[in-house]
Amino acid sequence: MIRVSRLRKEFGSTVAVDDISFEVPEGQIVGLLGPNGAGKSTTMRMMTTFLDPDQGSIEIAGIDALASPLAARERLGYLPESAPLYEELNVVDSMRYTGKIRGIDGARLRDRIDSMIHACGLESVVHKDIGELSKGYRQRVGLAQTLIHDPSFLILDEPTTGLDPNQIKEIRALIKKIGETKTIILSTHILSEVQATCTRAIIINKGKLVADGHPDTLVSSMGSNAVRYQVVVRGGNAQAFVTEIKKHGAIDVETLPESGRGLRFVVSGSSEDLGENIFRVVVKSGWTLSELTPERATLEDVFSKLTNSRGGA
Amino acid sequence: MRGAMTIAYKEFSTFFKTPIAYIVICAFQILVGWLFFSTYFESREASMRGFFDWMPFTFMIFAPAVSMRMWAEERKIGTFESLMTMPMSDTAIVVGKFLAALGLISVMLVLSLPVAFIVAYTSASAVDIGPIMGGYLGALFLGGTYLAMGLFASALTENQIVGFILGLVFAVVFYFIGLPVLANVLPSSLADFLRLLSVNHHFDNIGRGVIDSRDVFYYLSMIAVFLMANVAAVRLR
Repeated sequence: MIRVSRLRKEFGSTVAVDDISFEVPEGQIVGLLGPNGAGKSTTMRMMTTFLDPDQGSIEIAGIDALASPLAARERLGYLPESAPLYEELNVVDSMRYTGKIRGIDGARLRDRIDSMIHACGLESVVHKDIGELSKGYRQRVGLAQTLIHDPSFLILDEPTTGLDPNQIKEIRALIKKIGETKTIILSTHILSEVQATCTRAIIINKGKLVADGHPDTLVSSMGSNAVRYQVVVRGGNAQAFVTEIKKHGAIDVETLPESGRGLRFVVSGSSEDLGENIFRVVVKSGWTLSELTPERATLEDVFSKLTNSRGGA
Repeated sequence: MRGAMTIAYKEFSTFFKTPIAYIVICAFQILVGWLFFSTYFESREASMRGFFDWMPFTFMIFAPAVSMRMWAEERKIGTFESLMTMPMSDTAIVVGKFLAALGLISVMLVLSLPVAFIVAYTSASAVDIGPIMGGYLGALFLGGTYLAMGLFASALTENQIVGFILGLVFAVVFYFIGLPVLANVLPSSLADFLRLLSVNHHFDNIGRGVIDSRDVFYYLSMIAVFLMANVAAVRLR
């Protein structure tokens, strides 16, 4: 269990983290979500005892992290943003160094290094220098090193930033696999990451916690009253369609550039039968409906609603 | 202090994985060798005074060159954050880095031993071994003091060059206040006081082969003060 309560941190006159509290029970993969500068890294840096909070307390597995930081650090694995590593060390030496600092030695250290090489898929780069590795492999070495002492809690700051789409997929799969046995808190500003890997999302904006829950619950609770359809109509008149559909429950109609398939619109409203209404309007006018795609509200919508001051109104 | 030796070992081997160790060692041997032998063969005096007299000056440049990378690079590449969240005290990390740097300075000094043999075999009279051993010991204290200053300087920046220049500035200040020229411009009591704080004043005694506990105490406290300042600097993050 990680317990963060009433955390506050100021840098000069800016409040980076403002009264943030949450609890993470064992077994969760939590995504700390927020725009750049929201206070995610600062929160993580306080949880890892790198920074001291101005107010509040942090408890890691029952240990008061502010009173006994060294004991708390034993339980934690922390991978800072962009997986900083010593370029001049090779993969094994790098892991050995971290292991030794963590007080692991001899046969146990060799075992741990072997199993981390296997778990993180590092077999092909074992004797390479870190400086020669791709960003994806560096991230894996970073993860392997973070896991060397078999911590119960992992804190990962933007673990997929700067990776290409394939590497992102691989790292996400790896995080999920690790998450089967460990509690993970990761930060990201990529929403799909949270939906893809996390069992819980904590949204932070301007240093404040603005939402906390399962990604799906957040989506359904925040996006339930909005319905949106992508519509493509052939043989019609854009002006007529907009006027007509607005009489039948559409609140907002966005006209998109015309494509070869017909006139394109994004129709949004709040009534459940908007889709049927669109269908009826088009048929009644003698046009052809060539596409009617419902758009599910995504975490993206929740996110922009919560973090955008205009969208929140 | 758990982990200090792990840090020391890693930092020491890093010197030899980067060009720093080779450049510093070679440049030091060439410079002190040349400075010493350019006058030695005229006198063939049976001592290494001329060799050790250059130490406060040459170490002033070489010590910050050794230490400049040690913290600045951690900050620059971001490993500072992982290092400072390891389950070991900040003091142990600082001491580990200091020992690694002191180790490199020791290698530098050991590699200058041929100078001692040349003096032993070519001098006009028999060599007194005491002052030479004292000189080497003093050089280690002196180097340690400059290194502690340089490490502290490195901890203040993420730029190696800035780390070097700051380290050089600290070293120059503690060297300069020991120069006799100050006695001409400052009140004598102040000049005397400053001289007591200077690195070279204490080195002069040791270089003569006189190991006085006051000089040893001076160097140890200077090292302690700058290492503590280093701990404070990394705690500020």
